[in-house]
Amino acid sequence: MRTLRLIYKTLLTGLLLLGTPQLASAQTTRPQTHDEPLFEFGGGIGGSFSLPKKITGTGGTADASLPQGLIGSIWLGHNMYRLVGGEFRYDFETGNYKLKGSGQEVSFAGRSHAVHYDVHVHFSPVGSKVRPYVLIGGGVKRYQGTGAEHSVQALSRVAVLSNTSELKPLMTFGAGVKMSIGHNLNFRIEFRDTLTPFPGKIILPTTGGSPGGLVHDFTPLAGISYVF
Amino acid sequence: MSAQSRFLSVYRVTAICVMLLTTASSWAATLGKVIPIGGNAADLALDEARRVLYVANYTANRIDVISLSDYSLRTSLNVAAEPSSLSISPDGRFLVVAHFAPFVAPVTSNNAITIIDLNTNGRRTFAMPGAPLGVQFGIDGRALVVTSTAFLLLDPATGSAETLSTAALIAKPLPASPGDTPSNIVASSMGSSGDLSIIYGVVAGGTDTNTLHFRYNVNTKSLQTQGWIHSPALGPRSLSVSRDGSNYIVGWSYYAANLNVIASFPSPSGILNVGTHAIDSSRGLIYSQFTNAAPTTTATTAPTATPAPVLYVQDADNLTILEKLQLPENLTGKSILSSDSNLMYSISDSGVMVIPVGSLAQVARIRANVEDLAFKGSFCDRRSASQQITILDPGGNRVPFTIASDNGGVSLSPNSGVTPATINVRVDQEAFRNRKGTSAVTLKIASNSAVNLPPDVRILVNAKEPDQRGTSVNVPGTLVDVLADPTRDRFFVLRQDKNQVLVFDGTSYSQIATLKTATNPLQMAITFDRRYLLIANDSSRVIRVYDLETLQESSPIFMPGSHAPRSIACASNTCLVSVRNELGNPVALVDKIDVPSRQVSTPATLGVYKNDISVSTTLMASANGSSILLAQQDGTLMLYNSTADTFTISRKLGSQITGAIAASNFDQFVVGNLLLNSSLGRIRTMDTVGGVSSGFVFVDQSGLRVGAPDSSSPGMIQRVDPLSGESPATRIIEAPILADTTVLSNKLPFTRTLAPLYSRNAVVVLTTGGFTVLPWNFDAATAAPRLTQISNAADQSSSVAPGSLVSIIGTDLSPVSMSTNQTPLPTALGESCLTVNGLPLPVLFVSPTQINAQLPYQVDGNVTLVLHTPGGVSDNFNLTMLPAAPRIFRNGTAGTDTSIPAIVRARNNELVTLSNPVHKDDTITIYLAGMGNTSPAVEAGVPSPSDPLPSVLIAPMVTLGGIALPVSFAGLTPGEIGVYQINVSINRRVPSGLSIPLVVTQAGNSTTANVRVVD
Repeated sequence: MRTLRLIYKTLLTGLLLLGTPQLASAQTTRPQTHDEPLFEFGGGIGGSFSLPKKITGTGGTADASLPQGLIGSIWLGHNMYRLVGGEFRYDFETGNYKLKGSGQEVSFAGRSHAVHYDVHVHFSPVGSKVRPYVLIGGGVKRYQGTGAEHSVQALSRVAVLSNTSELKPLMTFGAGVKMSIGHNLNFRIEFRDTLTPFPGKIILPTTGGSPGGLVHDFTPLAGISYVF
Repeated sequence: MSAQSRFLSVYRVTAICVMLLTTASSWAATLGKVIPIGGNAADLALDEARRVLYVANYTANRIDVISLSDYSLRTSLNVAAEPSSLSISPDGRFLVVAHFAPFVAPVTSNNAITIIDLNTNGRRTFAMPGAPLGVQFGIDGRALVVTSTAFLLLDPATGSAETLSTAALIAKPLPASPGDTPSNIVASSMGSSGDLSIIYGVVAGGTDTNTLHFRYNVNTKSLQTQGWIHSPALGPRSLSVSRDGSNYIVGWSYYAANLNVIASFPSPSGILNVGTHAIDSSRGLIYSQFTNAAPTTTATTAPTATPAPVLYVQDADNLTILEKLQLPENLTGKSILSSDSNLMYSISDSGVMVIPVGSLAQVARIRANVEDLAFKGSFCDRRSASQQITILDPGGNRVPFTIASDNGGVSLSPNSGVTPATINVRVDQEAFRNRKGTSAVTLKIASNSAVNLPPDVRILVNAKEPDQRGTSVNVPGTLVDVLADPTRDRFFVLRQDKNQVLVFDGTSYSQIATLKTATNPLQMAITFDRRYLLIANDSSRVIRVYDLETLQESSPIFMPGSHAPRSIACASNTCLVSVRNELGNPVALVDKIDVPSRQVSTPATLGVYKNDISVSTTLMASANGSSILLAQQDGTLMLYNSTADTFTISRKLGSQITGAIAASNFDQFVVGNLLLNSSLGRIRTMDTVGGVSSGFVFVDQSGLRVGAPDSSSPGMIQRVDPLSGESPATRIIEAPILADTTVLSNKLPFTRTLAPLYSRNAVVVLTTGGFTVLPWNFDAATAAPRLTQISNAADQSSSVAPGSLVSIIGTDLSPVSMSTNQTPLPTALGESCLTVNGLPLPVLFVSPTQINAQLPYQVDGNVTLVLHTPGGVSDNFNLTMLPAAPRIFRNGTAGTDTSIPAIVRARNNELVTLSNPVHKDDTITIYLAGMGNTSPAVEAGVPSPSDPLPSVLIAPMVTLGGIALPVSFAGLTPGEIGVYQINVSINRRVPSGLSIPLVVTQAGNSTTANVRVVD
C-alpha cells in the first residue's frame, strides 16, 4: 500500500512538473486555427479500484472500501487552445461497498454518479496524431448504497452499510494519451484518481464519527471520441 | 396415450371420484359404495387395463365382472363350483381361479383350478387332488397355486404345473357353519409385492389359531415357510403386502420379510368373519377394519356382538390410529388398492365395497382443533371462565355438527353449527368448587353428515386450594410412564394412545421433541451408560432405541418372534425385559438385551427359578445399576443382582399388589405400600398416602411417594425416610396416574409416576391432566411473599395503565420458575396468584424474584396489589394506574445487540437498527405496552382478535425529530396479549440523523426511542 502511494505521488508530481511550463508556453504561443477540430464527444469504459479506509469501533477495526467495478464515462470536450482543453464529464460506477475485518466481510451493493469539469493540458498541439495529456478537475459525486438492509449486519460494532445516498465534492487528477484513429475519431487511454471525502452515511462508523480524510478512486479507462 | 384417450382417462377418474363422493354423501355418514353381488365374495382381482374388477362369488359359483366406470355388475363368468381365489397374469391375458371345495363325505369334493383366457373367453378346468387354498401370479407369468398337498407353479398357457414343494396342509372341511364368510371358510389368502416378484401367503393350519405363512421369491424360486400359533385366532384371514414386498399383514399381525411378527393390532378379537386391511405404501398408511376385544392379556374370547363397521386409517410405521371412518357395512376379507392408491376395493357383507381412500379431503369430516382444554382456576379466581375451540373439517368442507357436554357445569355456545365454527366453552367454577382435584368433562362432537368418528374433547377443570402444591401442565392422551434423563435437564413422558415419547425441557417444562415408538408402548428405560432411551411396546416385537444426545432414532432391538416386550429396566451390565409370549407356554418370561449388539437372549432360568412369569411383571432398576426388581401382581417378587448376573432372591407376598415400584441404591425396594429390605423382606407397610399408591422414587437416602383416592381428587405427596418413616403428606393440585387393579394388555399394574429432575429444581409427577411440577423442596416452610416494585414490562418504567404488561419484583414470589404459553393466560401459575383490588391477574411467568403479569382493564387510579403463594399472602402494594402509560418495548434483539426498541420497518419486517434505519418513505410499526382501554374491549389474558381490531380509546400522537407523523392504526396487536402497536408513515420533512427521537405521547404521558433516519 505504501509503495502504491509513493508511485502515485511521484507520478502526479511528475505530471504537474511536466505540464505547467507547457501550459504557460501554449497559452503564449498562438491561438487555434479554424480548420483544426474544436470539440470532441465521446465515451469510455474502465474499471476502478480504491484504497480502503480503516475504521475503528467498539467491536474492533475494519477496512471500508468503495464500490470497485465497472465504470462508464461520457464527455464533451472543447479544445480552447492549441495545447489546453476542457471537458464536461459524467461517470457512472457500480460495485459493492465492503467492510472487512476480524475475519468477517460485509458486502453491500452500490453505485455512484459523478459530474465534473476537467482541464486537459496536452503535450502536442491540436491535430497531432498522438496527444499525451495531464488533467485536473473538480465536481460532485453522488454515492448510493442500494443493497438490502437487515437488522443484523456483520461488523456492526465497527460500521454499518446503509441503503441511502450522499453528495460529495470531488477533485480528480490524471494523465492519458489521445490518438487519432481515423477521420474525426480519437482513441484515448487514461488513468485518473478521483478524490472525495469519505461517504460516512452509507458506510456509517457506529461510533458516530467519520474516519476523515479523502478516499481515492483510481480508474484506468479507454474510450473513443468523435472530434469535430 | 393420445390426447383424446388422456382426456377420457381424466374424465373417467373425475367421474368416478364424483360418483363415490356423491355416494358417500347420499349414504349420510358413511364412506364407500356397496355393490351387492347376490352371493358371498371370496377374492378380488383388479384388471385396470379392461377397467373391470373380477369377484370370486364363492357361493354363487361364478366370477362377477364389475365395471370400474360405473360400478355396475356388468356380467358374470360361470365357472366350476366354489371359486375361492383369483389372480390375473402379468400380461393381463389369463385369469386363474381356484375352487376350494373339500367337502366331507358323502358330498364329493370339487377341488379344481380354472384358467380363463380373457382375450378369447376360453376356459379350462383341472381337477385337483388337494384343496386349492390360493393362487397368485408372479412376475414370471406363472401362477403359484397352493393346495393342501403341494406348492405348484402353473403355466396358464399350457396348463402344465411344476411341483415346487409338496405339503401336508389341513384345509378346513366343508360344509361350513351358516354365517361363515368365504374368508373364514377358506381361511387362506395370498398377495404379492407391487412388481409381483415376492408372493406371500397364509394358509390354514388345522385350527383357527394355527397358520402357515410362506414367502416365495419368484426370481430365485425360493420358498420360505413359517408356522405360527396365534391367540386369539389370526383374523380377519386376509393378507396384504407392501408395495416393495418388505412387509405384509395377516389378520391382526404385521410381519417383516423374514415372516416374523413386528407389530400387532392392539387388543384383537380374533374374529375371522369381519375385517380387512390394505397397505398404502405411497402414503405410509394402512386402511383396516378390525375388531377389538376388551383390553385383557388373555383375549381369546371373541366378543358376542361386533361393533359398528369402522375403517381405521393408521400410520404404517406403528399402527397409530389417525382417523376412524364409518362404513355402510362390514368388510369381510380381501382388500386391494388401485394402482394410484386412490380407491380401495374390499370384500364386504353384500359383495364388494369401493372406498375412495385417496379423496378423504373431499368427504365431510369433523374434528376439534384441540384434544384438551384446561381451565385452571385458583383460590384467587372463582369466576366463570371461557375458552374457545374450533370445529373444522380438515378438507375445508362445510359440515353441520352438534357438540354436547356431559357435565352441567360446562356450557357451550353455540352447541351446533357448520364447520369451520368457533365454540365458546364456559366453565362455571362454582359447579366444581367441591372437587379439589381435576375433573374431566367430555365434549362429544357429532355430525350426521361427517363420515368420521371425531375424538372427544376433554375439558379439565381444576380450582386449587391454597394448600395444594404444584403447577399442572396439560398433556393430552393416555400417559403411562415418566422418566427423567439422569444427566440432562429434561424428562420423557410416554403417550400410549399416539405411540409417542414426549420430550420436555426440565427448565421451561415445554415440549422440545416427539419421538415415535412402536405399537402400544408401556415402559421406558435408559441404558446405564446414559446413551440410549429404550421403549418397550406390548403390541410389537421391537424395542425402539433413541440416542439421548441427538434424540435421533438408533437401530432398534428385534425381539424373538413371539415375544412382546412390556416392561424394561437396565442394570449396569445388562437390560432385562419382561415379555408376553404369544406361543403361550410360558405366557411370559424374561429376556436379556445386550444393547451395544442389539442382541436378545432368553435365559433358560432366572437363577434357580423358572423363567416363567406373569404378564403383569414389571421391572424397575436401581439408579446405580446394582439391581433390578421384578414384581408381579400376584405378589411374587424377584431381584436381579448385576454383580452375580442372575436373580438372587425370590419371594411371594401373601396378597395381590399394585401401585408404586422402586429400587434404591442402598438395597431397599418399594412395591405398592411395602418397603422391603435387601432380601425383599418387609421392613414395614407405609400408610396409604391418601388412597391408591401411584409412584415412588428413591432420592439420595430417602424417597418420595405419591398417591390419591381416585383420579379426580387432589394427589398426595410425602417424603419417606427408610428409618424414621413417612413425613406428613402434602396435597398436590391433581391426582397422579393410578394403577389399574386388573391386568390389562395396555397397562402395567405397577406405575412409575414420579421423576426427580437432573437439575434438582423440581419433581415431575404424572397426573390426571398431564404432569404436575413440584418444587424440589415442596414441603419446606416458605416465607410469605414480599413485593418491592412493579414496573411496566416494556421498559421497566414505573408508569402502568389498565391492561399493562407488568413486572413485579420482590422475594419469595414463587417456589418455582415457570412460564406459560397457554391462552387465555392462567390466573395462577407456579402456585402464585395475584389480585388487584380483588381481581385476578393473568400471569405469564413466575420465579422467586419476578412475576410477569397483565393488569386488568377494569381498574385504574389508586389500586392495591396482593400476591398469594404457598408461603402466605403479601402485604398490600399500592400503586397508581394511569389512564394510559405508553411505553415502547425494549426487548428487541439483533445479533448480539439486545434491548432494542421494538420498532419494525414494514418494508422488510425487521427491527429498526443502525443497519436497518428508518427511511423517509417508510411505514413503521411501534410495539408498546400500557396504552389502556380499547374499543372493542378485550379481556385481560386473552389474545387480541383480528376482526374487529381493538383500537385504543385515547389517541396517541407520534413525532419523529419533532415532525408529527400520521397514525394509521393504534390498538392491540392481533393474536397478542397486552401488546399494542402504532402504525405510522414517515414523511420527507423528518430530519436525517443518527439518533432522531421518536416520541409517542398519550394522555400526557410520553415515551421516547431514538432511531437512525436516512433519506
